[in-house]
Amino acid sequence: MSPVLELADVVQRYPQADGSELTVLDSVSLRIAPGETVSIAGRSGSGKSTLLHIAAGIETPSRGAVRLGGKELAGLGDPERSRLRGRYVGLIFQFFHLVPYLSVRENVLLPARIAGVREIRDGQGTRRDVGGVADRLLAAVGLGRRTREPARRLSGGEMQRTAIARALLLEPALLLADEPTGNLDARSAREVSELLFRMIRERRAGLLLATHDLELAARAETRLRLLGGRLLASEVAPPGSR
Amino acid sequence: MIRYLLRTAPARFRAAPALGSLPIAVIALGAGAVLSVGLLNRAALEALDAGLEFLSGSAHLVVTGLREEPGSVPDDAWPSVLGTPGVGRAAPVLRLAGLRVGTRGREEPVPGWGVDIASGAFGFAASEGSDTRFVPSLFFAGGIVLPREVAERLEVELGDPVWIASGTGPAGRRPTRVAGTFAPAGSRASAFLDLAYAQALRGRAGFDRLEVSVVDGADVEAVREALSGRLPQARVEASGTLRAEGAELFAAFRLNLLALSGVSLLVAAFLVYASVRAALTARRQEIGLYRALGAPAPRVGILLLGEVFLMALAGAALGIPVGALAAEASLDRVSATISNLYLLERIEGLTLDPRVVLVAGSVAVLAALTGAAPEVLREATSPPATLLAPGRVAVSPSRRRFWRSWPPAAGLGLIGVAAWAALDPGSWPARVGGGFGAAGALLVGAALLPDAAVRLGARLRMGQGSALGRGILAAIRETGSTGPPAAALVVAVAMLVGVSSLIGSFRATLDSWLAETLAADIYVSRAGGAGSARRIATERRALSPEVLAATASDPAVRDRDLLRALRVRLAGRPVSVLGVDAGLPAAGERFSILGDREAALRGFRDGALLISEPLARRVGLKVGEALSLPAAVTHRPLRVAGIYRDYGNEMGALFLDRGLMNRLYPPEPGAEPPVHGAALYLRDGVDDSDTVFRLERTLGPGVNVVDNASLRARALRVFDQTMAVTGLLRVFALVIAALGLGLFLWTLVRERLPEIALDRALGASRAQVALGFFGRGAVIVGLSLLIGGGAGALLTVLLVQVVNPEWFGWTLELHWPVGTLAVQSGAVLLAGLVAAVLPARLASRVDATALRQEV
Repeated sequence: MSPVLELADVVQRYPQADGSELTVLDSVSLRIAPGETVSIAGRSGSGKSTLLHIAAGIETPSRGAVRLGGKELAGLGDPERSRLRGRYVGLIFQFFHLVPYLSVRENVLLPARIAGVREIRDGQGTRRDVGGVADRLLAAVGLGRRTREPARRLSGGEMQRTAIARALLLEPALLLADEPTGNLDARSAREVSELLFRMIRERRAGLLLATHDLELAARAETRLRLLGGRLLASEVAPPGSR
Repeated sequence: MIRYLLRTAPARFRAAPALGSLPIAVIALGAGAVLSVGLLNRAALEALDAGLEFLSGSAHLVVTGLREEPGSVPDDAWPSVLGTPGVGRAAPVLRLAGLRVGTRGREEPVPGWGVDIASGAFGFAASEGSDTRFVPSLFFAGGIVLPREVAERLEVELGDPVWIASGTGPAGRRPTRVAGTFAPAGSRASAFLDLAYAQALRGRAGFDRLEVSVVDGADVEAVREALSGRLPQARVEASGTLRAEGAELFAAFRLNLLALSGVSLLVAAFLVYASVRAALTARRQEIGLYRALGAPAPRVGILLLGEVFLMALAGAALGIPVGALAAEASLDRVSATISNLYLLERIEGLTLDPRVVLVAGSVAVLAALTGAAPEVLREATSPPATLLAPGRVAVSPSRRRFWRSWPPAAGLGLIGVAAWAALDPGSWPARVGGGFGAAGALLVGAALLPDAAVRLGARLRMGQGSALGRGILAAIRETGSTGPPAAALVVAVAMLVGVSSLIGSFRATLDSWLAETLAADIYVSRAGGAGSARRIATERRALSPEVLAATASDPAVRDRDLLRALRVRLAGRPVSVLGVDAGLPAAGERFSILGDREAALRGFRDGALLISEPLARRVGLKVGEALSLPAAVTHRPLRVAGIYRDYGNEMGALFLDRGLMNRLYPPEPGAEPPVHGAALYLRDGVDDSDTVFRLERTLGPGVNVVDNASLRARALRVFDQTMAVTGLLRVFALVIAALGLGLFLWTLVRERLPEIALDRALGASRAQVALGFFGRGAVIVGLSLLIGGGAGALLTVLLVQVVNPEWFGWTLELHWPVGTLAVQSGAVLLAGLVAAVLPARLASRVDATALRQEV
């Protein structure tokens, strides 16, 4: 089965004010198969977000190859890369990034508006109205009664659940989640993490999760750690193994 | 995505109403400025059309006399025209300047026409469905047909007695009756008399023009040539040619207004930039989200420009009433200006022409899109990761270097080019757009300088002890923290200084010119002539022999300088030909000669011409060259002895000896050569006002007797009235700039919310925060005054040395109206500081809870 994401020997360096270069990622290679969940743990500033941005095609690496769904990103221009990201990747951010003046439902529908999509073909090839999909997703994340509410009125946990629904709207093959519980209290973090993994399982999407929350990282099938710009196997045990 | 844009626009506006409203207000003011000027220019053209109104409908050709005098088309030209092959209809027209209609207690001025309705060529232009009432028997008996509104104001109806007069005073009143009333179709309301009675009222035969329609299928040009051959003493022109020539007359005036409104628009464009920057700053993470969710950069750019477009549309729509109101407020001033400068009809009213509205709206929308484009481009092409990061965006070193170096370099370059044009009016930069190109370059160049000036002050250390001082230091140490509002204010200040100093220079020059050339003690002319040679030349009301005799025999009069005036066309434009007694010592005193005065006056006494500076520039004549006078009985060229300064007439004028003029332009057989004005020199020790009083009593109300001081005061009053129209446009630019400063500081509050919250958390008081922002406002205003003042000074030199000579043919002396400039600087300072109050107050309301990350 071909991987949904493949990073090969990725290096990312940033120029510094004194003329030197800071290496954030150093020869990072990674493959994620469909339905596989991968977590990357690491301290703040270790390069987790950079790795996710590179995986999404938001940032271009200094060196190395990135393949999304078998397509080499280096050969694509911004419009193609944006289109690929919009249809193939779902993004979840630490700070939710909801549009505050839009309703919850409008926020969830945003990827469809950007992609110009009105209908979605599900796994069985059935066409479904994108609005209906959004409503079902919102019901699934527990916000079915708050769809018309402006996003700014939601609590942190509700915002992140809305963001998860948005990330899953177009049935992406790969979900990239950057500290999805990093801005939530313990209870909301648990609820969001349950929801995230349940929905991933249901949709057989690949997941690359960046977090410094070890409990969340441990829920992934493959657990990695970023240290000094290099990707190492993590010593974190999966839940229930301890 | 477009539907998304439209659907979410109201929500976005509700989320930040002030951020949406301010740019809309700025665009509305910009659109309003352009629209008001468009409407006024249009109204001025309509006034021109009114002067050229073809009463008989769509005339193909117009026959006028070579000398533009009342009755210059002789009566016998009419049958001659009708007998010309190809002519279908020829309608004689006579215009009664200064017609007044009245009853016992009321009086109304109304443009009057003498027409021959028996020819079948005329009907009274009435609005559709209106009730026109007309009694032919009354009309042919000398009755007058009045516009209904005039009849209503006079409270008269069909058949009621009224009096009519074409001069001032009760002496010339003739009793008659109302022969008809009608509702005019356009804004213009004219009264009509039978041609023969109009001629009688005027006191001479002949028509002013013949309006000629050719038969179907006839070649208009061939008929024109045939008529020209038959009528050697007449001018036959296609009707379109007359309008084009007329429009060219005050093209410079209209262009000046347009340039001033363009400045308002330029200021507005800077502020749209500032407001778009404000809006995009608040929505940076939202933009990053669109990019992250797969929207390509061009699409995000189109989305954002689409929003600006919607905003601009709303602003342009609001600008329609703003512009209409501003135009209405300026109507009287512009009307007075075109009457004074160009002797056109007064503007009767404004028409909200959809085409003018569309052009003004489109220009405002285009300016808004242009102003928004740089910031939209910057945000749309920024990496999504950068946009999504909380806090302010770090500018890359290369981009920072670029933005630090090119604007000041380009600004200095543009100012250098403008300075070159100002110092050398013959250079190529001075020739671009007749000097307006260099003026535009100067304004744009000056607008690019404030950020660089701020960086120069970045090493200041003083003032750190107070909140205000820290605000000032913060403003001058942050790159890009002053740019757009300072740029807008710089342009507004430069424009204020430039236009005010130009007007000051013009006024001072006019004042000294009047002092130099108005040498006589008393001026006598027919009432309505106002003593101006130009007006006399146009209205051509001659002084009666009784008046001349009375002035000659007055014991107080030592010397008389008599003036004859007529108007001819030279190189397609009207030129005043003025005759004075060159042999009189006083004759030379009325000229301010450029160059060798003695040689010029000597030549003038010997039969050569003195021509005005605008005429010399227009036809390219120099001293020593020769000119054939149009419509003269002999075509012998006359030498130009000198060029004199003339600020009363941009169309051109020339003087020659009155005796020579009478030989070149002989009067009608049996008539005496007319005299249109008399300048009286009084004996030593005689009191001017006593003499004026005595002459007024002797000469009656139909004659104007004005002493020297009153005439000068009147001329300056006319000048002030003429220039007053620029005042509103200057206020527009200033208001837009002040709004922009407030908007920018408000943006800054939004941008710096976390920092302000942190300051508050660390113990800064509300007053300290407010003073900090007030300090920024002070820096921006102070900087704008400095740079704008300097640019304004250079702009003044450009306007005085390049633009005025090029467009009006006037040489002006530089004069700085220090008092006016000081008052205006104070107004700018006050407006700027007032504009800073609201953002400062907003900043002071931020508390530490804003540290919470919400988006």
